[in-house]
Amino acid sequence: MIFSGPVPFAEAIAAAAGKGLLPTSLDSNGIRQLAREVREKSLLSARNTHEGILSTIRTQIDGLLKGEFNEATARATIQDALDAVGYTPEAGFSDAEPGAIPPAARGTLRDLSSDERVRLVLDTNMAQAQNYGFKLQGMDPDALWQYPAFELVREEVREVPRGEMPGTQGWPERFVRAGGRLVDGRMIALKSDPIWENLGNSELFSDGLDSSFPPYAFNSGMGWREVPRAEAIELGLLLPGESSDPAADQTFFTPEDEENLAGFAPGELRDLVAAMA
Amino acid sequence: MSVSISITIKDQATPEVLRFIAGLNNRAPLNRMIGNRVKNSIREHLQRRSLQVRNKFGAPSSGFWAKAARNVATAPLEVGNEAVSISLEHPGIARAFGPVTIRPKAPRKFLAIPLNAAAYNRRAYRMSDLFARFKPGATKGVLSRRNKDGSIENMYALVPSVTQSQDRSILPSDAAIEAAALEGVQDYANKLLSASRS
Repeated sequence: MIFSGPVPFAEAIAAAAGKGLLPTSLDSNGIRQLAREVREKSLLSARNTHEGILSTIRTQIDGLLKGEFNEATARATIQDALDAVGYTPEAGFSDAEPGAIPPAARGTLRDLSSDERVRLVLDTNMAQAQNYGFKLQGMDPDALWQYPAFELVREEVREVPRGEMPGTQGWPERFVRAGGRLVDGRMIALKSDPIWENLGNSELFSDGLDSSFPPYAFNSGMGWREVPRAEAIELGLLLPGESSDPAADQTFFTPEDEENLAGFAPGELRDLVAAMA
Repeated sequence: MSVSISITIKDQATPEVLRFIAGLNNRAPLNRMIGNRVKNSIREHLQRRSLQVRNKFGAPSSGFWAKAARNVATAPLEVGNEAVSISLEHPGIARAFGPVTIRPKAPRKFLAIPLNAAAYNRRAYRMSDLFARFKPGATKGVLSRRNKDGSIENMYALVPSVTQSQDRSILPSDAAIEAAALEGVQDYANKLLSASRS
C-alpha cells in the first residue's frame, strides 16, 4: 500500500491529462459550474437588490470553493463592498428606491453587512454548492453501486440544535414529516428516495431551502453520509443484487466489467469473494 | 494548498486479493471503487473531527472541518490501471503531511492571530477601534482595544509568520486508509460476482 506525500495539485492534474487518465465523471470545476444554478435560489436574493454586491458575493463564493482565501477574508471583502456602495442597515443602498429595503437593526441578521448575515450567506451557498456536487458524484453508477443510500447526519456542532427549543422540530421529526422512515432511529434512505427532495420543502418547513441536498434549512449543521451497500442491505433498504435505481441498471455492468469477468474461471470469483469477506 | 494521495495495492495484500487483481484485464474500475472508499473514509473522518475539535476560545465554530469534509466529497479522482490518486484542496489538510508555515501576503508584514473569542474568525481591519502596540525593537506586537472601563484588551497577536506542526490525525491513519482501500477491492469483486449472476 502506498500512502505517498503531497504532490502539487497542478502537476498531478497535468500529468493525468497527459496520460489521458482524467476521470470521466465531472471534475470539481465542472461541478461548481453546475452548482452556480443552485445559488440563484438562495439567500442571496433576499433583501439584496444590488447587482454589484450580488456579483461580489458570487465571486467570493467561487474563491472559497477553490480554496483561494479563507472565509474571514471573503466576509471582509463583502463588507468592504457594502461600505463602498454606501449601504447602511438603517437606510439600505443609497441608490435604491426609498423603502425598497426595510431598515434593519445594525448587527442583526437583517443587516446585510453584519457578520452573522454575511457568514450565513457564504456558509449556506458554499454548503449547497458542495453538496450539489456530492449528490451528482453520488449518482455515478460506481458510486451508486457502492453507496446506494444517504444518511442525514450532524456535521457541525450547534449550541441549540433544532428540536431542543420549545416549538421546534428536530431533524428526525422533520424526516418523518417529510415522508421518510427512520431506520433504527437513523435518517437513512436510498439515494433515489423522494425524502431527499422533500426534506427542505418550504411548504412543510418555514426555514426550508427547497433544495434536494443539504443544507435543507438555514444554519442546520446537517450533512450527508454515504451508506455502503452491505449496510443498506443489512438495514433492509434493498435486497442483495437489487438495484437502488432501476434507471441505473442499464449502466451498472459496463463493458469493462464484462472484460474483467472473462479473467476468472467458473466458480473462481465466488470463491475469491468468499475468501476476501 | 492542494495535496494528493495515491493508493496502490502492493504485494503485502492477501493472496486472495492479489489473485483477484491479477485476474482483471482492466483495473480502472477497481481503482475507481478504491478511490471512492478512501474518499469516503477521509470525509467521514473529517466529519467526526468537525464534531470533536473546538477552538480554544470557546467561540462559535467556523465550520472549518465540516467544509473540509464537503470538499473531499467532490475531490477529483485520477484513476489509472495501476493506482488511483485523490487530490485534496483545502487549507489545513496539508498539515497532515508535514509542518506548514503561513506568511502574510504582500504588502502586509504581519499575521493577526486572534487572542480571544471576540477576535476569532474575524479580520482585524474590520474592527474599527484597534491600535497596534510594539515593544521597542520587537518583531512581534499586538492589536489592542480600549474597553469602556479604560482597560486595554489585546485582541490579536501580530507576528511575521506562524508555523503549524504536522498533525497526522487530520487524516485517517494509514491502517484506516488501507482498510478502506481493501473494502473497495471487495466492492468491485462483489459487483463482478453480481454481474456474473445477472
